[in-house]
Amino acid sequence: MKEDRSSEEVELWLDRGSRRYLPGDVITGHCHFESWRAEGLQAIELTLLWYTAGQGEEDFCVHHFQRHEIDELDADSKDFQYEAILPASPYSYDGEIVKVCWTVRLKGFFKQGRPRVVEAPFWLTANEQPNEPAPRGGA
Amino acid sequence: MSMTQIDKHPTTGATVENVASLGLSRPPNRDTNPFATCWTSPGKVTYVESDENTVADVLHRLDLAKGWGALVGPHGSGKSTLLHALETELTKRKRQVTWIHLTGHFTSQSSQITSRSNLIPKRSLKNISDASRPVWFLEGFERLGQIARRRVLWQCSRQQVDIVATLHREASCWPWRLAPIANLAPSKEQIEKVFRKLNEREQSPLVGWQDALHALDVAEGNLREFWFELYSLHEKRRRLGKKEIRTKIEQLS
Repeated sequence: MKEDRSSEEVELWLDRGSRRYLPGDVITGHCHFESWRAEGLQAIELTLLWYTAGQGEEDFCVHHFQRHEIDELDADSKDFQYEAILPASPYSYDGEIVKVCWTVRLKGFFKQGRPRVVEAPFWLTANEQPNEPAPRGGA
Repeated sequence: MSMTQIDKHPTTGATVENVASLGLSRPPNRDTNPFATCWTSPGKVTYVESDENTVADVLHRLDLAKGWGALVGPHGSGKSTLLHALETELTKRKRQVTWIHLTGHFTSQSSQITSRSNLIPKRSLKNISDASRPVWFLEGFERLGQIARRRVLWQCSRQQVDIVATLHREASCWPWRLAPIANLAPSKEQIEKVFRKLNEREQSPLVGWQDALHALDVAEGNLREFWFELYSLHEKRRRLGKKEIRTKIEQLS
């Protein structure tokens, strides 16, 4: 099912604005979906995952998942917080042929129309310095 | 996207948001390169119709060929992309579409097509209409040898299904016939439309149409190789840009 990724009106926040995390860190944030609610939101999913991107087929692994049906949320609820402990691996990797990408993904399901997705990518690294792209030929 | 904290870069004192806008610390994601496979693989790239090969025309030719047809074209010419476009249209017409991915080792997988055909309910020959016949997409049919091709077509004839197969060139499959319903050789205009759509997502594109024309020459018309070339060029230039930025920051500090 194709997704609509043009949901600028929804906010997905990572509490640490630097977006660099170490293994074992607790990643926290919250999302604000008032505009989706007004458009007939039926359910909302928050996923913490890594996926590969680059020149090959995509692989991915979900680390944390939570789904809320609209009925489960309070009638005037427009946002919720999330929290998860990050694993030891894989590290984010900005390679030339393959990239390992960590992200928090918010997906909304509606009565009509395609699901909509907002993502907040972040680094999972061995150190807190900005990770440089891997030079040609590997790290 | 909002940030609730602003960190300062240890060297320049610039805010993280400014550093991120320099491209240094932006986390990798599928938007890093507009020519990544997630954007250019068949099914992800929109099929751009030519005057000769609109989706409606191709399906009309399939009807004229009594439901057995082939998409003919070399590697990377857009056969799989057209199959995805045909699937969308056939689904709208309430036809059941099944993909069968064939490999060169079909003889070891001959049971696969049998088991797949067993999943399709047997139909009474009396009430079957062309409009209700399932459609099998035989992707990779070109990889099979003559004997394997005949075996597949024999299975299909028993199952009373319509077929769209992919081939590199027209071929005889006596006693059956797969009529060519589309000969694919994408024009530069079609390729440019797709290229510009992909590049739209970049605020400051690193690869221009002149680069793409050069890549098309290098790839000798193979679209799969063409996208790989553009992907590599974008990566090289992105890294070159970051190297220059790092040098500037070092000079400032």
